[in-house]
Amino acid sequence: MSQAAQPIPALQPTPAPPPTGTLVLEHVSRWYGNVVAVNDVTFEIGPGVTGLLGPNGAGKTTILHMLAGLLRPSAGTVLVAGQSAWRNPAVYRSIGLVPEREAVHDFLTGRAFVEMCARLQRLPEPRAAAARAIATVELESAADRPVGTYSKGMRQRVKIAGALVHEPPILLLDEPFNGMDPRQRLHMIALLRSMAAAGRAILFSSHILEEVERLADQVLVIHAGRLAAAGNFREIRRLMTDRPHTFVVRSSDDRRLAAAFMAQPAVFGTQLDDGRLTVQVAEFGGFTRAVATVARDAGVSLFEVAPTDDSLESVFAYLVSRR
Amino acid sequence: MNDPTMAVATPAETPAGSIYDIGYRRYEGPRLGRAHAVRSMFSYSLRSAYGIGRGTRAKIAPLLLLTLAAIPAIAILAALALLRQFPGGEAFEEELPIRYDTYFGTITTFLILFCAAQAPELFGRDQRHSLLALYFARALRRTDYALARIGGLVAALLIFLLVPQAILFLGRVLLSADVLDGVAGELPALAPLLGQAALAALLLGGLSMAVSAFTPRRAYAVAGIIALFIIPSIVAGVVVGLGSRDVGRWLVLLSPTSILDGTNAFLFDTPLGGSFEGIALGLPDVAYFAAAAVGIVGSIAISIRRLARLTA
Amino acid sequence: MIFSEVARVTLRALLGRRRTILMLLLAGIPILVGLLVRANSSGVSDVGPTLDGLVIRIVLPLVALVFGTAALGSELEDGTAVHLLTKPIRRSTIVLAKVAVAGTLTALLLVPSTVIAALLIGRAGVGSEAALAMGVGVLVGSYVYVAVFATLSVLTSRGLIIGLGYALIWEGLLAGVLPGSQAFSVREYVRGIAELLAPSTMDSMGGGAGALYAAVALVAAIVIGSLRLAAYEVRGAE
Repeated sequence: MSQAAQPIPALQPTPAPPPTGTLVLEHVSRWYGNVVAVNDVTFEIGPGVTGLLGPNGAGKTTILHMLAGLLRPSAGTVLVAGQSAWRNPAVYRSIGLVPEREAVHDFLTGRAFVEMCARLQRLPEPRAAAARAIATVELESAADRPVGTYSKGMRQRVKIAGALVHEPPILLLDEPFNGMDPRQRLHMIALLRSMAAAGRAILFSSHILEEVERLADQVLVIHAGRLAAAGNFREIRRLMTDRPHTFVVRSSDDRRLAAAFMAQPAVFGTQLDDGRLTVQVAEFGGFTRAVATVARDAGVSLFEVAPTDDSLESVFAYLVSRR
Repeated sequence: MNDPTMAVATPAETPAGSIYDIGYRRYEGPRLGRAHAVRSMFSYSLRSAYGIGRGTRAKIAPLLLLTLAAIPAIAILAALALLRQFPGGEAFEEELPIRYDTYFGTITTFLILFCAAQAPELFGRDQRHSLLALYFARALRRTDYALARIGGLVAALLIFLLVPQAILFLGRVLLSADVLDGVAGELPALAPLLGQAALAALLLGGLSMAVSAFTPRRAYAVAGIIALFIIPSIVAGVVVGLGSRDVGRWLVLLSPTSILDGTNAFLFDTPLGGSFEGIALGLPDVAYFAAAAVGIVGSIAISIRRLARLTA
Repeated sequence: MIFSEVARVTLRALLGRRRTILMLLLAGIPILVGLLVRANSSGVSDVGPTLDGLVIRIVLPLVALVFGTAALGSELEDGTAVHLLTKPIRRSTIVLAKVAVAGTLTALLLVPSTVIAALLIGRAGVGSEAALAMGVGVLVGSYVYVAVFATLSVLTSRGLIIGLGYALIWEGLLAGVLPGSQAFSVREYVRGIAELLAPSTMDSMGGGAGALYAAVALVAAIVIGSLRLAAYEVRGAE
């Protein structure tokens, strides 16, 4: 499959919707009876890879299903490529959905399933499109076996092939890495990256931080149905000023530098062990601006200043525990 | 096991990796054992047959059917109460179509629907959701599981059969001028009534569980139960109606409802139902009784055998 | 093209091995009865009522129930329907294709079975007229029942048991007590159509009304099913 290929023109209905692959939620809530699954969520996603991160039961699937037109929002507006997704099958020309459940008819071969998806999308050359999609997910060797004989990872890939067979500008994936081995994971990350580079908007959900951290440009952190944070995760981390940031500093004289840092009001503490100086500071920006001046005044040469805990895990643990 | 305080106190001596005991404990107390597991499985099955402990939607079908099964009893009590208001009304009482001995026939359809709705839930859900391995990893054995599940449905069917009868019984007692007299008058009906209910619950419950054990998919099990309970009696009716007594004899013995009718007539001297095809057949009463016994024992054996062979 | 694509995958899903065997067994019962009758007598004159009690009352609704709910409800339940729902196709196309396939399968099994049974049971001269009438009735009934049960299976997750209750309680018990309920009984439509074609076969509500009601019920079931499917909500796998 050529990554740069634009959606086939024949796919677009005559009054073409804006080709922007954008996903918009405006004050969207969804409740089941008394249980609020999604609570007043607002965001807008453009091209690129966005990770929807949250623990199980946080509302990730509910958000994805509302975006895919499979659930009616109880309140608010959901717009997909400029159109409302609910009760609007035409929107599926622009969307590919990879649901979390493994359900694919066991008796179909992988190829037959993807070709069915291609025909239901009214593609002019369903066989060729299906072959391209199957090659994209590297499933050629198993394509002519019934899906019933597939492993979990193969089922996941055949569903992805079915979802991208019409090369939609928007791809929604619910826990796409479940059941994949590390090699398939790497391949899928590369695949989604290249599709995003071709201008597609890709939103995937996950409760595994490492996946989101490696793949996503943008992160939406969902906890208990509410949007806890959104944006670039380093940026999110920077905004969390009430939690100390930790830096590792290497310099020509760590001991003297530590003493100088302690005189700074923004610094909570310093620690020196194994020849590494770690500094805990209250404010990210203030410290990064001040660090050079402090070192110069103390007569110490700085070799390296690195933030240590910007892993998504620490950000996430913080956001979740704050509530 | 490592002593955690030691591990912390002497970090220099710990190897590169170690597993700390952070206080998880094995359960050392008494275990309730197999008998308790069977009792739990039984009561759990009985409760879930009426949707107790499950969502509202699981309660609708069984409770609606039970209500429908009780309506004839309530209606007939109302009719009796009205008749007593008129002089000479008592004369018609014996003509009323709904009595203890005909009640089973009156609610057969609801009873069959109850079996078709609930039996596949009791055996099929565990297979569909791969729960059997969890059960069999406990003190419960496969045979215990099968018997407890079947027992649960049989008990549920007993309740289903006896609740309307109890309403009828209480109503008739209260309709009599002297309550004690009323109880004495109604008492003789009690033993055959319980016997018939037990027989019906065992035969229909056993058969519907046997069908369910073979088909985890609900649709097949439901269709199978309905076909088994209803079609043989219709076929027998057609064939007997056309005068083929020899074939009809054997077909009647394949129809669970006809077997029940015949066995009840044999054991409790109930009149054969109006639609009953067996009247003209001249089968010995013992044949029905034997068929019922074979049906009950055979169906339970089939379920046990199937459960023993299922890969959990 | 979309229609045939949906129909094709539905057909393959419905022709599971065990289901096919069970349904073939059910369809074989009327023929078995016919053979038994033929072996023991020279046939009867009241073919209609004989087959009414067996085919129209039990076998037809049961087969239509299994195929109708399997075509739509079980796919919604097990999640395979999501792949259909997330394609740019009209919901009515999905419902129409499903009803067409499940109805055709039901008819393919039961119309020959009914016709053969009628020919076997009927006395010489009566059989062929009754066979035609019953065959057409069962043909129409297959589609109407399947449409009703398929729509029920979209409306509720308990479609199977509600459909069974409809066939056994509403059509079976209430039709005798409340004659007005016949207007909402597919069984009565089938009997009416059979009577229309061969007036002596059946005693029913009237053939013309039966055919009309059957058409209305078929269209109404498909319209309601399509509307409901258009607003069908797929929750996560909780």
